[in-house]
Amino acid sequence: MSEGKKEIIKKLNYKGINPIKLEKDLVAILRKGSSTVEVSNYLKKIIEGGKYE
Amino acid sequence: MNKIRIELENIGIFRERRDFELAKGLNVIYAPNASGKSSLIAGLKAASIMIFTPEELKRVLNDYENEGFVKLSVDNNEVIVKLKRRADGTVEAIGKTFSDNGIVKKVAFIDLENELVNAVYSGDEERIKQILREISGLNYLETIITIISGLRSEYEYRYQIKRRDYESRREEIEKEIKETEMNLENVRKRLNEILSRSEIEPLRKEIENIRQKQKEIEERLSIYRKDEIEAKNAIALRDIDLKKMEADLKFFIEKRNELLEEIESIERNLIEYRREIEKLSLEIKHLASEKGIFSRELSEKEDILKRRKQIIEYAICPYCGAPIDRKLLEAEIIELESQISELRDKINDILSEIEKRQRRIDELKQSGEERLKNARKELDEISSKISDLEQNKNKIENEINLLNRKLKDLENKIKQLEEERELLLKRLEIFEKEYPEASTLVDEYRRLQVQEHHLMERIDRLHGRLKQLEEMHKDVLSEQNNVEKVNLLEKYFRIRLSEIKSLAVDRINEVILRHFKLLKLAELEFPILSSDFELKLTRSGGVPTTLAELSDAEKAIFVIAITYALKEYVAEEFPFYVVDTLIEFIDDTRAREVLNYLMESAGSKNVIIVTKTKPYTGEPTILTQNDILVNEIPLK
Repeated sequence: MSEGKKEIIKKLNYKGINPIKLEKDLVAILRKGSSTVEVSNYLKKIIEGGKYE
Repeated sequence: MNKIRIELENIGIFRERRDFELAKGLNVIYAPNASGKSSLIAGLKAASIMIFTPEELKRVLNDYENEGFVKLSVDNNEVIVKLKRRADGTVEAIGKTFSDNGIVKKVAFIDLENELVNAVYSGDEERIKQILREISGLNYLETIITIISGLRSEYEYRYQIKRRDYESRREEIEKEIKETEMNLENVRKRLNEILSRSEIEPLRKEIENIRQKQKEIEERLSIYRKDEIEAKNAIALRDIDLKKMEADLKFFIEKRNELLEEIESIERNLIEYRREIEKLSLEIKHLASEKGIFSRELSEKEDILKRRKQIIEYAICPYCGAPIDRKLLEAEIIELESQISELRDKINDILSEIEKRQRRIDELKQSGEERLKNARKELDEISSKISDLEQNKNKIENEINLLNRKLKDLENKIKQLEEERELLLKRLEIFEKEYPEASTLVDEYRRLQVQEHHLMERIDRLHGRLKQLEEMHKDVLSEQNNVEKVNLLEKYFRIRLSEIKSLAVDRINEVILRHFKLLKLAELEFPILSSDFELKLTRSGGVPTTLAELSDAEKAIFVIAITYALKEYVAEEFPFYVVDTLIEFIDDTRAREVLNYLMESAGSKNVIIVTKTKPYTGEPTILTQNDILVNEIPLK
């Protein structure tokens, strides 16, 4: 894992976001055929909603 | 547990119930053509993945049956998928499949319907590039990045607007504080100047005494004013919470009343619904029995037709020995076909009638008992929310009452201090009269003290406004935090995109190279897949080649290599990897090496299934458990 990525993951974790889980969830949502609006709303909830472990 | 059970009824060529056991590791389904190898795979596919086209589903269900099912048990998981032919001839699948990952179909079921197989065999390199990008998740990551970029602009715009608004307000207040403080300083300077004047000498001590008291009063006033502002801010914030709570409460109370009305109405109609469901169920029973009669008749007629068709070319009937009258037989076949067609139409009509009634029953259940159950559940949830809201509302109202009392107390204290301050000013007025030689200066002094008081009060109020702005600042900070989060997410996904790109390309290249080694095709240079997912096939020595130039066997190995690597990468949790028919394109020597490779790499989690046609022995057979070889390669 690159140093930059490690640092970004650490910062996101500190801000209450687990990017690895988020990536998995978002790809799964898209694979199930969800629209970009649904993905956008999901992301907004994660960004504005505080903890996401 | 190491066994996987698959039960099939009316699937593919199987018209009765069939039961097969598979095992972790390599399972070679080794049986002659038309014995049911692909039917077993089709059943497994139907139970495994959701995304099935109606055309595919139609091929899964036996042509002569209207219903069938697949039951798949893996470890402690069991799924049942039912297939039902609709009146219009299409087939629907009912039930939850083993996986809802759409990509499984592309990487775990390698048969002649597979998109990648078709693209490789038709040499469509552009399509392969698209499929590989889709499978590896690159397309999804690109979509996610596009969405995040859009969100970043939105968040940045919102943050900038709020920050500018906050900063301009703050700047304005700070400027006003500075100006007021300067005025205050000038006033105090002038007050000191007056005190140093000789005309004041006879009452200096008195005035200094008044000044000292005034100073003490102002200090206390300032503290009370700050507390007063704080209490007012707290009341305002709690008022906002209270109003929101009252609105929520109103909404939930209305919702509760609506639900109560709905429950009452359902309870009134429930008896009628039950009666109608009973009537419809009875009708379905009659229709089903009617269908049974027609189905039996159809089956008999189909058997007769089959026998007639079998003997039409014979001179003598093999059953009774009588000579065959071809014309008579042909007329009989036409008549039978027409009767069969009529019977099928009748059965379809009955099925459609049954379906209509079943739909109505479902509707009635939905709006009857099921709705009643859900409505009661909703009512409980809403009632609990109302109770929580009422409790919180009372708590906030109590807090507001306490704060109001505190505010009142502070106001009284301020009023009292103001009165004391007024008294001091009155004393100065008396001095003005008692000492006419100093009256002008004392008058100025008194006015300046009033001014000083107002300026101090103004400064306190301005600091209070700054405190109010802190709430706005919290909002700005939260927006700033969102911008930071979205920026970090964009950076993260961009890194992931480039990582996945090179990782996927590396892994695909690695496995392809390994398989090409197996095929003794090592003259293809590494890498053969560029970072843009473009296939660059180069024979050793640097001679470029294309997919179209590969043999069918090489293409089969190529597609197995790619999908096997991708499956591990994108659908590792899915236990099955199936190669149907494709192994036929590879000669036995190399097929054995491929099977060996799959067997060795299967591990204890994966179930690898490969179909291989057994040489035809002359006897038509149907697939049995004995035709499934576990971790055994039939090729010599």
